[in-house]
Amino acid sequence: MPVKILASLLAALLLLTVPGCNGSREMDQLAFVAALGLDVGKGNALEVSFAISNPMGIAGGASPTGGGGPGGKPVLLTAVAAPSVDAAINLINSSLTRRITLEQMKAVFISERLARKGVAPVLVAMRRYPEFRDTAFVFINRGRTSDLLQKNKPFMEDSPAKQFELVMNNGKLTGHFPNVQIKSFINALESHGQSAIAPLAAINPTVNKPQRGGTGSPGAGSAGEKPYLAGQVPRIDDNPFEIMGTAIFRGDQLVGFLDGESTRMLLMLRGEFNQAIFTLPDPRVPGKEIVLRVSQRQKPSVTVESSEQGFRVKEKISLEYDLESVQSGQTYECPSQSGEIDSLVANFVKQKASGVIQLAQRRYRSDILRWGLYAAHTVPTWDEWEKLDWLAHFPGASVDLTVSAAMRRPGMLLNTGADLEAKSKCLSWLSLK
Amino acid sequence: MPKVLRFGSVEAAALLIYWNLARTFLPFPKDFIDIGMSAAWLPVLLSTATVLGFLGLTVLVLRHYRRETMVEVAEDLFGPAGGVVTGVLLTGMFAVETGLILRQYSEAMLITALPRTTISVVTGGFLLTAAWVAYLGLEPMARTCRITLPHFAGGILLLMLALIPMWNWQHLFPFWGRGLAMVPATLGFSTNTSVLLATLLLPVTGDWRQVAKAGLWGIVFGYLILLIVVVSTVLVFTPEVARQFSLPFFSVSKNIYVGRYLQHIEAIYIIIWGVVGVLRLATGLYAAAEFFRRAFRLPYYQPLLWPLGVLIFIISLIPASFAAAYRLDELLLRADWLPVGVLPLVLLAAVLLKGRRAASRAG
Repeated sequence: MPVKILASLLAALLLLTVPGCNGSREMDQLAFVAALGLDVGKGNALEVSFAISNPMGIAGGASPTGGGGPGGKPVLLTAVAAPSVDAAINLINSSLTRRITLEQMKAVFISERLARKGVAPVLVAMRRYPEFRDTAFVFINRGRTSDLLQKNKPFMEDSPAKQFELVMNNGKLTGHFPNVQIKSFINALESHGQSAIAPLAAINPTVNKPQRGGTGSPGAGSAGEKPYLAGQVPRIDDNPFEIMGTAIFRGDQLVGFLDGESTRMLLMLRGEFNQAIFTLPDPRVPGKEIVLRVSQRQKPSVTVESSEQGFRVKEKISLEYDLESVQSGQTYECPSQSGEIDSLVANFVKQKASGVIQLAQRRYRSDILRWGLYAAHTVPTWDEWEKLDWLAHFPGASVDLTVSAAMRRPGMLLNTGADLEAKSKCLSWLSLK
Repeated sequence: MPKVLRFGSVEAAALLIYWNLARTFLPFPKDFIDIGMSAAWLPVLLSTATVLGFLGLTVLVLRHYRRETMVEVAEDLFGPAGGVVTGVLLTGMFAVETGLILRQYSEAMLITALPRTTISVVTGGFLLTAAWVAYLGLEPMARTCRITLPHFAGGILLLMLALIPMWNWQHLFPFWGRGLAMVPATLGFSTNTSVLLATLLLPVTGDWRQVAKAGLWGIVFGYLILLIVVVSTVLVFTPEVARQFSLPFFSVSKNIYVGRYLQHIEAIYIIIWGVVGVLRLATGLYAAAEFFRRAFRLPYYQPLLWPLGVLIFIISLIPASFAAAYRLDELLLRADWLPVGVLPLVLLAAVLLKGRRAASRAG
């Protein structure tokens, strides 16, 4: 029996050798595109940019900023004007020694200008291409796409593919931009019940030109954090590339943006928020702040009811948070006092999330909240769902939003602060006197 | 005379599972999504019940005989001409179906893995391998299916499990999908030739009870995998997007992304797909040859493999494109009502009538 199991395992291991080469193409005959850029070209043409991984550059440990390593730059950028992506690949193939392949493509950047005209003709059409992978991340970028790909210099990563994967993972820890793969982007574009979103990327023109007063911390000296869009974050860095905020679509056209802070609220409303640091004003001590790690452990509960008056959406968001820092030293970790922070977090999120709902319903008229998925429960059949035209009803739906928050962990400290009065030492034996 | 073969109902069931599984790798699941949309699971269940109904009907005929297939039953009821007509009908049906499946498999292989290879080379390669397997006989085919089934079923299940983080249950609403309109649309292509293939297993497995058991497992397990693939595709994509895929299983496999170090694992699928495809084509070729042999009472089926293989090769190259082959296959499924539904019904009526007459004569 053990021999059979071992034989089965060895046979299974053989499967791993299969992805080596296919279609009579060896690895050293291919140019692997790490990122694809789509922009408006002259006339009806597209400007298609390819950020191609250079294995020699990556292996040689070349400097991404300078590109003077033994194998050259780790990323080679090439751009061409063509009527379609396939035509662009064809054109590039005629001048490259290696054949372009999209099999390892990790990101698609679409310029704001192209997105405002509509992305469906380009992106949806590309999905016929067998090499095109729906797992690639999609970004909307401000400015020219070729500029963005050229100026992107990830100084800590040799591989651009790795950069995009890691940066999207980081997004789950900050909530400042959504994690959107082509699959979910197309799902939303083609759905009757939701609108598409994508993370916003840009080259920050001020990245090495600190504003008066230095970069500061985003929230320093203010009540809470400041909202930024990509390209606006005050920072000093070697790489001007940044991702912050959300691009909002109605149909296949870009209609607006949400800043990083609003994006967190959007993600909470969609149930896609993982965790992030929130800096909020201390409710007891003006001028002081408390820092919390807020997480969404469960998907929000959403119900959509239909009546003669229209649609009514009830959404309940449940959050948890850990205390990371309390500048004032107040003992908010006490069970009897944590309710104060619970309310602070819940009210803050409710207020900001309501603002996002207002924007989605009134200004953008775009169901980026995906309530249409729940509105589909109100009809029994698909034909009725198509006739319903949810996206027309979405702006007029009334909303009942409930937010609750609960402290889970106080961090590494209990009984903080300089106040030695027993009354504040709720977690001390002294308080039992 | 050929040696007497014997294998159990598990091997027989595995053969029938592969027969059904092969279509799951082709555009077939797309039809169910197209018909049911958010309730794509419903047409699959309806189709399963219909096919089980056909199996029941066929078993009702077979239980009046010992080890005869539909050809011998028809010959017994309608004379030698009845046997020949039935045998030729079934041979033609299996040959055409195998030809269209061969074309779809070859086209799918070109789309996914061998984009620069000539279609006739892939088709020829598949067919030569299938002919060789068919030449070896039913027993090696059934036993290969039995040995590989747990591995392949486990592999498919693993692929589907890796998609769970991407599932969105809300895609299953509106709950009733296209409603009652699904029923006639589903019944139209709910024929399944595994029912007729099961009758070929009767002389090998023993009696009609074994065939019923193998058929039941073959259909239920085969359609269970189809159900998992259909539902998983709808849960990962929306019904609007899922209904557009030419190869839903491959498309959904390409989306497996468990993290930086676990992605691009659809290569596993291509291996499973290739082996299942060859076994399906070999079984189809064998069935066509065996029904023909029985119709004309020939001693061996092997000499028929070459001419039938050439016929299947030609049929596979008749459609102008992948889409045309898929469309023809859909039409064939509708036409299969004749051998899968009408033929057993006619034979059953004749059996019952004959039994009644015999009883009245005896009385």
